[in-house]
Amino acid sequence: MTQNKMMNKIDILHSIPEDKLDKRIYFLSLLELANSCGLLSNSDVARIQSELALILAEQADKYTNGESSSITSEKANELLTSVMYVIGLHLKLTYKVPEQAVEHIKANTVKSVFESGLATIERRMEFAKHLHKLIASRLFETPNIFYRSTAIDGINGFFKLYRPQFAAHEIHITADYPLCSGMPALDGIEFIEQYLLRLECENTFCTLFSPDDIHRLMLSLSKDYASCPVNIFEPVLLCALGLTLLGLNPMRLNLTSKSIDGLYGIFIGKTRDSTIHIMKKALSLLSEKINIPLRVKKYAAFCIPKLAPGIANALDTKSIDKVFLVRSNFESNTKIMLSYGERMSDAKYTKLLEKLQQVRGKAKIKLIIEEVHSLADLLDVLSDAEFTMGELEVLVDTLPQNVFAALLSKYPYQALAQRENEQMLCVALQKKKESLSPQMRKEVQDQAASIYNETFD
Amino acid sequence: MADSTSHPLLFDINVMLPSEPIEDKILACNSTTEAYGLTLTQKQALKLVQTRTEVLKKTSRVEFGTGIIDKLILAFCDSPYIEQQNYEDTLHELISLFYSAKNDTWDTISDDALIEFMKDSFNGPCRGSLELLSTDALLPLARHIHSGYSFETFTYNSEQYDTKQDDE
Repeated sequence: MTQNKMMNKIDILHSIPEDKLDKRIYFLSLLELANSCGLLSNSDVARIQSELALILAEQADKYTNGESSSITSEKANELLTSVMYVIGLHLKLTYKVPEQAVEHIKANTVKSVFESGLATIERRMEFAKHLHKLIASRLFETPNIFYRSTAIDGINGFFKLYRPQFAAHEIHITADYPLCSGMPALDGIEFIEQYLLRLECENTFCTLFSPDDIHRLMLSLSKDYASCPVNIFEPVLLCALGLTLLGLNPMRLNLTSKSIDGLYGIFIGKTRDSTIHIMKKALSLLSEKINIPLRVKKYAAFCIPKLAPGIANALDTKSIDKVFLVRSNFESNTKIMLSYGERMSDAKYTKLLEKLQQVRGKAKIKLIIEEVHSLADLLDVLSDAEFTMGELEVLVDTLPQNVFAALLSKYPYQALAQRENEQMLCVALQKKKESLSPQMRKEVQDQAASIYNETFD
Repeated sequence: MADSTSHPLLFDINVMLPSEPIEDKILACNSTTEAYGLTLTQKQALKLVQTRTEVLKKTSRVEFGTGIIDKLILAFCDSPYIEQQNYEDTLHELISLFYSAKNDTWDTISDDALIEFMKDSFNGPCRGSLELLSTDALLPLARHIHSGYSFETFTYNSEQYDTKQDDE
């Protein structure tokens, strides 16, 4: 190694190598690195440790409402992880340079940093809620059940369940709809915020095109795409870029088998870097043509390197039409608009969940029938409350046919259900379906297949 | 999320916790319990603290503050079934039963309510038997909670345990 190169390796201004900081357990990794490079002494670490213990004791007291002097070790670890997440998030977002974060923690009590962190999370929550409302108000119309169930119901579920005071690092939801850029490797509110930022870009991009054109493009990927967790942005972006590269109008997303050959000619023999360069150039052209907002353009440019290997692989296997999809001529059937109705207040909902915990069997089902008045609340209850198989069977038997069809449409396959509750519900729904007469079964199936979600306000 | 407890530098929670003067609180109870002919020596108080530490470890629990030993002492000191000769042994057993019950009832019952329940059962249907307290009172209570019912709906008597919950 030359002397110059060796000099470049030493950063005389920063003792903590940023690339070694773990973004998910920021506070711990900051302390460890600061301690190992001498920015934090052992006595500093001991002071932080004892202050953390006091915060933990206070948190445990708040968690038990002062009614229990002890908690399980598992819960204590969760509370401590949450406290450290809150502190780490505040330091990470406030100080761009880790050394400044260390100085801050040395000059202040851990408690004050924790409290500032909780305030930071509150602000982030407000921002995420605003972003979520924005997405919901302009949600791109698609029959894909995972899109809406994540973008609306899943994220709503997060806001309902998220308790930064005690579990700031938790996500609570599975965020089933896959993003083109992949899932953010973050926790808590940071994850949701990043997920929403990326989803907003994908959603905005898709709204530039006709929902029917996208629907037909997606049908060429799979006729069952509506019930599969597939990303929609990626094929739309690729198709629009493909049309742009061929000098065609990208708006209709109507690549043909013939035009695909032209794309083969453009990409054949190109290196990965050249492919990325071509795609990014096409993105600039596309952006000029259809006025892509800058943030969306940046997001698309961020995704392009992830798409390049797929193009190279498709060229090797002569299956480029699997990447740049040729739009299907299949026309969509008439759809039934499904209304989620008006949700009950959070306070009322929490009370209902508490009541449901106290009862079982028919009494539980009776309580649901009496107190739940919208599909949105029913779906939340089915997800948040605990049921036995027998209870779900009774509930499914009690539901009106249109609600039964709506649930069938939402939970079509047990294999797709993530939670145990949802899997049991799928079984109960299928059991009820099998018990219907052939004619009735077909009617319900048709009804379920043609359900289309209303746009959420 | 990565587990913070596996971190080599910090955070073994049990090590982090500041030690509280539990022993002093236990000995302070003597002024009340003397009226019932019950007292503890410093050595006995220390042993009770040791039992608490061991049981907490065994039941995978973490306790903050001075804990519940003094509360157990003050709740049980007027029991007709406790005399000076079985006083210390009974307390050791009660400490163990208490933390196990906290786990078995999924932390749904407050310390005070659980101690009250243990006291009423011990002095009542269990007739001073710690074994009956464990098997006929605390175990059915745990089953009741596991079935989805609340502590408030649990009734215990010596003949049978039942719920106030209406049948389906």
